[in-house]
Amino acid sequence: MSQKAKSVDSPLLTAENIKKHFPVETGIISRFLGDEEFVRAVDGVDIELREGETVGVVGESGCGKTTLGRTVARLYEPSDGSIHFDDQEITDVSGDRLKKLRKNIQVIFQDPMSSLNPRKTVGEIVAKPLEIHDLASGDEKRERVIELFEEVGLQESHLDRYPHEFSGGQRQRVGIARALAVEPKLIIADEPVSALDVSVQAQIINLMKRLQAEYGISYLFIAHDLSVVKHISDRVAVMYLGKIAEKGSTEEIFENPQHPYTRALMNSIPRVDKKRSRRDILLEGTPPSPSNPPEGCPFHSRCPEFIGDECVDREPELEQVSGDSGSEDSSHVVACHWQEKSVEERQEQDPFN
Amino acid sequence: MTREPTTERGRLRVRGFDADATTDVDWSPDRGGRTASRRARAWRRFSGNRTAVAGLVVVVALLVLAVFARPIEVAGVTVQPFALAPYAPATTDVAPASQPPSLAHPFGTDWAGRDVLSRVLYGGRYSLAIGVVAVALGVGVGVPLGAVAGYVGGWVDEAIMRLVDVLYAFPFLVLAIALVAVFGQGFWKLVLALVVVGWISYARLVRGEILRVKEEEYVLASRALGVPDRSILARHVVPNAIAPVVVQATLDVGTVVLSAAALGFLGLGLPPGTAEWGSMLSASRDTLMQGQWWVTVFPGLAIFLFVLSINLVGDGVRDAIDPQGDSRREAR
Repeated sequence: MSQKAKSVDSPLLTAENIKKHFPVETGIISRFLGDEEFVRAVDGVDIELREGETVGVVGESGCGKTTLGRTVARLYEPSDGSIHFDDQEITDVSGDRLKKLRKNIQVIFQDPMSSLNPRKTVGEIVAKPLEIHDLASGDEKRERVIELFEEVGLQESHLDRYPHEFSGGQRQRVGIARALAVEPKLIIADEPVSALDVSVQAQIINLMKRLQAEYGISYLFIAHDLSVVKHISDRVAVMYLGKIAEKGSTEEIFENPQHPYTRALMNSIPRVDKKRSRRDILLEGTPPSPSNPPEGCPFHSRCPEFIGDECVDREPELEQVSGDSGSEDSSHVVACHWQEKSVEERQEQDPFN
Repeated sequence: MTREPTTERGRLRVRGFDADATTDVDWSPDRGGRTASRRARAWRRFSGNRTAVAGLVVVVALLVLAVFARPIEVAGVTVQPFALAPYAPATTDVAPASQPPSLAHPFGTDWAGRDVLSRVLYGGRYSLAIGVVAVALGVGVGVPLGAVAGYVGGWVDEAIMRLVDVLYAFPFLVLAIALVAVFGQGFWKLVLALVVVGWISYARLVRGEILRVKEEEYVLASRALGVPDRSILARHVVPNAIAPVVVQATLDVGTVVLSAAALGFLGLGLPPGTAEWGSMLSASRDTLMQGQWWVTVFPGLAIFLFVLSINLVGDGVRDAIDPQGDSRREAR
């Protein structure tokens, strides 16, 4: 699938230097005094997505991956940066143009219960986007909804039921049918399988892959489950504290991780076989608060490969992984001071050697 | 039926279990037919609650009695010809004044020789109308304001909720008394006073619920679909936030009737001599000491009966649409 993605040159979605800062709710008095505090949920992220491609975004809870997805989908107003979709600037479109954009970018949510209005039948829920965008009405609409239901593996007889009558997997299928109804080019899948059990996860992932193959949909796939991301993504971005730590093709990220945080994440995948056992890297503690991120490298407070003052003083830029570390992919970038070290020094210190 | 004696230890034995003989149970969720709507399920729960149904029966009975107490004329045309009350409420000297209950006048007569039974029946019109109209208007004002405050947030929220806070700083009845004193007496002025002090509780209640509901992902999902904000608010947010308001409003009908009666008792409600339950209590409080208990007790009983019943109904409604009994939680 990565072959197909590479053949398309102009990206479908380009987001540059995306920032989303949420003001911390403070009292009216401190607001007057100007003591505003911000949570830097997303703090300068570049991401691009080609047609028919799946980009996985991984990271711990609270690293800003959901916020990134919602900002890119224009559900949140970006605090800074620019978003281009289909060669058009969409950073601050509104009104009719935003509505048109909604037709092209759809979202699948994490909690399939909470994302369906409990007072509407699933038929009404899936028909809603058709009404909003004037795509079909009357019998035609009903036919289209039935078609969508069959597409995602539900039956016509389910139309008049309420969301609570379905299992989690079925509800997620309804959510997918709703997103598909407008025939979007891009679907932001925000942890679409995290709330489901493993066997159902596989069904949903396979459904999403089939729909991608049939309709050429691009996915921005947000998840914390690395094995799922590995399975579905062409490229992967690893986020830490609102920033991208490492980005590259799925093979590169999983076979040749360069950032200490990525390595720690890889290490956290439970394995049955001990074949690929590596030196254990255990991350301790929790991520620092995004309203008061550490100076320098955001990861230095927990980094198992901490170098010294440079990590505390200077924030590393995203740099291309140099060829001598075994990388063949020019798009593999990492933000770590280890990249500036000489090859010998790095090999000497490499925890995998 | 013959019983085979147990041949071995243990009372339970599995006999004739044959994997080929068992048929697969159909696990498809199809149960055929449409699912009962939420309203139908809520009604089923409500009708299973005997005290609530009893309350509803009393409330409906009082309503019917009030409506059919005397004929109703609209623009000279009699719309409702029945007269359950034997006398018009204001007719004086239907019998000697201050007569104890008798067959001719089951509730006795008051100081002006008016039939107390007729006045109690007819008085329901005032009390019930004030209760229902004041609560309906209070909901009509409070729910939209609270919904907008909660959904829009920012300075709109700040402005509306600070106004609510200011009104909350006054005791309910004291503020109502002050307003009636300013507006003067009369049915609509009394209703207006009760609405001004009554809408704030709905606004606050709805705002809180809206703040909860608007965080639900289906609201975000609607926005992702491009549903306009006012439609999200009206179709997705408010319907999911309204349940506690329905309960509160039902219970409040009782409170408002009681407040109207209290204002009437203080001589601030309707003009003196009106057959409103509170005013009747007020007018007869001097004669209670002289042993003329019937003039006070019957209107008092009517207030008591109505408020008790409406509270029972309110409790029943709450149980029927309680989020705990909600199908959504059941499914989890």
